[in-house]
Amino acid sequence: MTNWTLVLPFIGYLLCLLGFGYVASTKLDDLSDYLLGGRTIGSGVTALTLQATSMSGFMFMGGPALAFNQGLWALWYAAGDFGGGLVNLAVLGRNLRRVTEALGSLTPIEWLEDRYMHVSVRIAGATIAIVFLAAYVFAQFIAAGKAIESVSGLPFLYGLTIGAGIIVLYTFVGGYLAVAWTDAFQAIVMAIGINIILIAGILEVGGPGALINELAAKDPTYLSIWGKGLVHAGEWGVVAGAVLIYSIGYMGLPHSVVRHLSMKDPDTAKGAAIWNVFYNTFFVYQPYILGLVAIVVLPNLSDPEMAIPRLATSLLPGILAAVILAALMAAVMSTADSLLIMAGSILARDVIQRFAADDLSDNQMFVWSRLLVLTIGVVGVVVAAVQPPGIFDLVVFAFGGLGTAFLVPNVAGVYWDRANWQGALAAMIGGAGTNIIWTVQDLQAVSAVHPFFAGLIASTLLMVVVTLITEPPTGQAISIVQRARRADTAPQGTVQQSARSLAPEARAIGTYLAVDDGASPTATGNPAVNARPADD
Amino acid sequence: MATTSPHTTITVFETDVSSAAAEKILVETDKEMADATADRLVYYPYRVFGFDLHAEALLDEFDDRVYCGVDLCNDKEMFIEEAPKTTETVVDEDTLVPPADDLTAPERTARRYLMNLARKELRVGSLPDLTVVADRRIYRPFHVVTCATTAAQRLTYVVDAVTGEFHRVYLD
Repeated sequence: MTNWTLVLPFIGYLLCLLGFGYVASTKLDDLSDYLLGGRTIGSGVTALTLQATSMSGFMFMGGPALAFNQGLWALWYAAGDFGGGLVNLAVLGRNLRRVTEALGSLTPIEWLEDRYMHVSVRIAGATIAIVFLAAYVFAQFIAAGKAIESVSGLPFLYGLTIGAGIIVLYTFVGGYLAVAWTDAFQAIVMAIGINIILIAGILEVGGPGALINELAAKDPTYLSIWGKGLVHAGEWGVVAGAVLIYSIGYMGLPHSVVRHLSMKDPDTAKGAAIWNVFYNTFFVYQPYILGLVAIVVLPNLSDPEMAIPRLATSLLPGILAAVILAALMAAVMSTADSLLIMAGSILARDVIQRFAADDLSDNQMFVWSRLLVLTIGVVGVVVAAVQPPGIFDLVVFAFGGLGTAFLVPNVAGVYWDRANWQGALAAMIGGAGTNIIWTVQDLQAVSAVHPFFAGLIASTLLMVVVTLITEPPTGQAISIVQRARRADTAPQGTVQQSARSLAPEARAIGTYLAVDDGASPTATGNPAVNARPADD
Repeated sequence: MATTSPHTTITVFETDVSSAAAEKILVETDKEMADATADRLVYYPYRVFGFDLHAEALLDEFDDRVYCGVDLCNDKEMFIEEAPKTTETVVDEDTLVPPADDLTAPERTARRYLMNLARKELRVGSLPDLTVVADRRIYRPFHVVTCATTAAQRLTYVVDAVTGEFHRVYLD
């Protein structure tokens, strides 16, 4: 039965958002304002926007479900999520950044093509990225369906269809609904909302100590690092996969550097990193802890992914619960919309525009990316309707696929000069393929090895074997990689403040300076070296 | 006898960052950055297009004049926030970074970039309409700065004389 005390505030919140977006759009009336919204409205908003577009559905539904089912074991994933950026930065990030910048690459897929100098690497990379982004989008569809189901009382299938329909429509014609301010607003409401539910939940069970005692009383293995019933006892392959999946999976997430030239005082997003840490501190662990609270407060919960919605509606006043669930819905829309746009852009820029046809009209390009969005939408609804996978499983599958496809070619590209395009291609396809097979066949159950870890092993083996049985790489990318690797490390503050978007210019100027100084130009593949200015 | 290169008149983005300011920017990035010396100025070529953009989204419509520069050495695009302020200047031809000679369609590059941006940022409902209203070659000045660190390293950077942003150059 429809609970109007939930439905009305839920709809009211989304309508307020619409009004908020409209007001914002009157302030942001040109492309510069939209594009550089993060600059004009501050680094904090930029950071919160990124958070809203990367977490949402998974954190509200997938994380708590895992904790509900497995207890403290879920925190392995949270640890990897929280530390992911740091690990990336500290272990591989520094050299990878130096090498990609020396090559002038602006996106991860572009870097792989620049390093391995073969178009197939770019096409395979783009295709793999699109497939796993689609899986990530499916997870958002399911989250949207469940959010609507929990508020309206409609069957899941109706909620799913309505949710997916709204998301695809929003992606197609969202206009001012999609401004950065509204994303940041969702992030704030989500962060505050989840902490309110957490406080209410902890109070309900009688405090943190009582929570631990209650969990121990129900089943002491809830508090084990090996999962409920010690199902993962001694399975270090599974633990390693859980910890590494986010820290490494993020590396495979497609992203691009938007290059812009400002005539005003440049305001780089220097504060964004601080906001990210702040947001992570108040958001990353809470959903998992709420999953633990739900074990005590909602022991008969039939769908663990509904832990937070059910906790919200049972512990908070109706209006507050509805607002939090509406923020969840809006954040899910934002995440799915960003992922769909990203997938469309990859298809257009990295596949069609780059390789398919020079004479493809703008209109055809536009239609292609629209078709991709529509296809992902339809397939996502069908998959979720026929046999809805868990949100957590889908997100782990997506991150695992991206990580297993890209980690090994990235590492080999930096540290192994012998690595060639054949090896990289085999590693990408083999790693992602192994992750898919391992997941679909549930081989973790018989092997005690996480699909992500299995994919990494397969990817590494293929990289090494295929590289060694094929010709060594030719071309000049290797000499640039070697030069960047040999180069002294710059002071950390200087590295952090460096404008990554200037990498292509810096590479071309480096080549020009080498020639100008009379040195033999280290060939870079850049044809600029001997050319003179052409008439425009 | 010293020889001099020919000079030429070019259009450059208006410069806000002097060589002294470029040095200061780099020195202030880290305590370990002991010293910086701006050695020379080089000019980097872009083809800059102005477009009238018309796009429609849900309950909304955008009309905007947008600018996009195409890096003539790498064929990479750059969004320019507003009408570029430029000046004419006479420079030594040796200070011009030479463009690639195989870039055949910078306008198409710019157009597709803006199309993608409009779709991504504005969530437009139909194909945005882009009409070229300006098309110029403009050079962006970069200071080439050699830095010394407290660990006695010598590092080379380029500092954008328009914005003050910088990036390392990897030289042998």
